[in-house]
Amino acid sequence: MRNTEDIRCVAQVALFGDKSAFDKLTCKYQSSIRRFFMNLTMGDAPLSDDLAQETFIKAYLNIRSFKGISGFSTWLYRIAYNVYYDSVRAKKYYSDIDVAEIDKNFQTNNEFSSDKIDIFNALKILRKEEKTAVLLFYMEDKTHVEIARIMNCPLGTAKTYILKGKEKLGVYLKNAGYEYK
Amino acid sequence: MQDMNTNNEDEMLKKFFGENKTEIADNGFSRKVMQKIPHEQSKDWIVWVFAIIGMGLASYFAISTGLINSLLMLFTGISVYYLLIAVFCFPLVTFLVLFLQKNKYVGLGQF
Repeated sequence: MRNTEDIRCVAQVALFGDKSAFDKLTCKYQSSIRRFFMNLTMGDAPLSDDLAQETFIKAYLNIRSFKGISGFSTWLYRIAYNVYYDSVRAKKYYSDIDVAEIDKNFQTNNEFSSDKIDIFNALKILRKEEKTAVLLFYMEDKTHVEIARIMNCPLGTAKTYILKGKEKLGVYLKNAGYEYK
Repeated sequence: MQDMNTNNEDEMLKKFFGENKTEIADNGFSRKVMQKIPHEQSKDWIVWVFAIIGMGLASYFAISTGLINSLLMLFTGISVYYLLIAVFCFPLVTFLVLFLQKNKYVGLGQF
């Protein structure tokens, strides 16, 4: 489904409350949004699904505020980013532990995490902003401009997060003996 | 040299994340989302109510002021030749508009 079709679906939802059009958008983006949360939460599938659900419901309720300046996907990731950080803040408020510890707490032994242990270990060394920016850039194929919009930060800051994350991950992977040729 | 290292790191990370990129099967996720979406009452009836009121008012004024009769008189008074010219001109005008639009598009595309 191309971007124009996304906009058509969004218009149908916004004007007529067409749920089947929103269902199409959910089916299209569920995988990428759930994967994004799965990587942010270090493989906690139930938590990822809850956060993804909240993201899509918020997107539906606020769809009239989508102006179409950026793509629907970027707008959706922006909501996902806010949902994730709201959740992190809420956990921090209750347990008063830092994000790294929350990430560790989120890590569970499920099917997904056992396959992905390398990527989660690698992501653990990054700060939360670096992790988000690197995931969006390398995993979700977002551009620098889109990442800046999603993270609501200046373009230079987004580029710095990616650069720092890249340097740290580069060193980590080389030390871990990762073969890439 | 530094650029080369950066490019290597870039390639390495692209490969690393590419290997770890998986598509997650829906497995009823979309259905659950659709079930949790709050139900909104349809507001289509507002459109129908205003449409019927509008049509009713328009018909009332058209009949009471004799506008319909005037229009019928006007149309029946038009020469058949004018109608034929209009019918033949319509496709010509349409093709002309499409031709102009296409040329404008090509012109913009060059810049």
